[in-house]
Amino acid sequence: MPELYQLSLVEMSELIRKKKLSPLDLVTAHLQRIEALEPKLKAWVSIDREKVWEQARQREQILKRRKKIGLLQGIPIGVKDIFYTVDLRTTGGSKIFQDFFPPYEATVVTKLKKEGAIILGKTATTEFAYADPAPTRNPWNLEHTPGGSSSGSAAAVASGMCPAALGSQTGGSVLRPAAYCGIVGFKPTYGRISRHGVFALAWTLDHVGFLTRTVADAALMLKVLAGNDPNDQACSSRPVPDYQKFLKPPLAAPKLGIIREFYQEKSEREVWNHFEETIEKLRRAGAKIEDIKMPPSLALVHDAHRIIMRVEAAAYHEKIFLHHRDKYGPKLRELVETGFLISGVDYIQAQKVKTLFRKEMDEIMSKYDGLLTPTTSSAAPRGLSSTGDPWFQVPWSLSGLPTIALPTGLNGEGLPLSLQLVGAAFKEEKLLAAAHWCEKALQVSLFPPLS
Amino acid sequence: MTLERKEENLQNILKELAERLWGNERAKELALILQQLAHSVTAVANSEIPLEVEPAFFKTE
Repeated sequence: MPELYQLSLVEMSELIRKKKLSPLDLVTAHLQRIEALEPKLKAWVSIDREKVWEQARQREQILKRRKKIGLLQGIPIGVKDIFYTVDLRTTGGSKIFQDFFPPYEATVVTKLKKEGAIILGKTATTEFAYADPAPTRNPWNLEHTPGGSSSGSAAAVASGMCPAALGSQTGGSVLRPAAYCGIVGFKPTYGRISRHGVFALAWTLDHVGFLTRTVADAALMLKVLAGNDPNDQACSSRPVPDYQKFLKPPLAAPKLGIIREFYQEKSEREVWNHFEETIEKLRRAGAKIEDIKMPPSLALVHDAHRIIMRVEAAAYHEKIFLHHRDKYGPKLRELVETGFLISGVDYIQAQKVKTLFRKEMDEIMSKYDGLLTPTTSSAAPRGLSSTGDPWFQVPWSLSGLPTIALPTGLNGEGLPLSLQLVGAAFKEEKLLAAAHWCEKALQVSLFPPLS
Repeated sequence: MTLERKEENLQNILKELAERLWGNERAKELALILQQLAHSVTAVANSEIPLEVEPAFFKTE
């Protein structure tokens, strides 16, 4: 029998629904886990235990009184500290906002609460979700980075401090930490989940995503979080499918494409060899897999991303930066200062690259259930001064296509390796079904050996 | 003086200024970042994106 903190989100939800598990017991298990591991991992910025107990008691009462309960009734969830919460401070990982209590809460936080989730606390983030690291450590090896910017969310989910946590991605901030920590990371199509009430980094690249331990858990989270929000002008009004329904057996073997261009050359040999072995396993299990040819605009994707992110970050931070320059970390300061140097014309040209790449990728994606790459070029790098390399996720943050990271095994040093699947725009159900099929075929589920 | 010579002069001045302001190591890092950025801007500006492609910004559909 696994410990309560090892259960998946779906298992917790089913047990609570059947009244075989109490939210109070679930919260106790997770708070004990946090107490034991937090001094080492430093995954959390704020946890108000009194408020957590209050929520748990209230969810327990609802369970007793009502027949119909929320999809996440009584389940503790972590929230990255760039999402606005009215009763917990929202620092954005910045010295400037250490005591900031926002006047309203993020749409996604409201959605979690509406479905009965317990907001466990705020997880550590790099400064304003860019690159100046949080103090969080990797649960697989404390000397290594957990990745970023959703550093605390990834470490917390991987170590069993919570079954799921919110994250965000502008470059590679959900999938990379998921890969480094050996869990599932999901970034939907741009516009699928509201970003209202979230500190921005670059508006036309920012995505809300999340971290879980299984694909089925990701489908449940997406069902709760997806949907239109008039407060976010990028948010789509397309209907939200029942994502969980698409994971039910029998699942057809997916048609998958391999992207070798750029990815093979940039991957460490160990990573690429492991990727090839993973593909072979999927092929033997019945997946139809072929190499694909990427469009020429791939060559410009990283340049365009670099320009757009700098200009938009400079515009977002301009006023705050003028008064608080000395309180910015060196990497964010450099991002903002160099953003001021780029002309409007160059920014528009970069946006045109973004449009073109998405259009060309839409055509390719219409032929596949998913495209495959390694999630990262290496396993989690040693040291905490950098959160690693986002280049393998950048094309998908730029194009806005949905992506999911799946753990696929451990390297020679005992650190997780991961597979990235890219899906068609607003076809998350197809991507999740393909990822679920791969998860079943690979049979890899990782939990770090923490004492 | 040729354009290349002017650019080289300007780069030397900026390098010296950066070294004085931030020290040698940070100046080197910043020089690299500016070099990458200049490369990106040039690559995008020189690309052959068709005229009719419009910037999408927040468009999702």
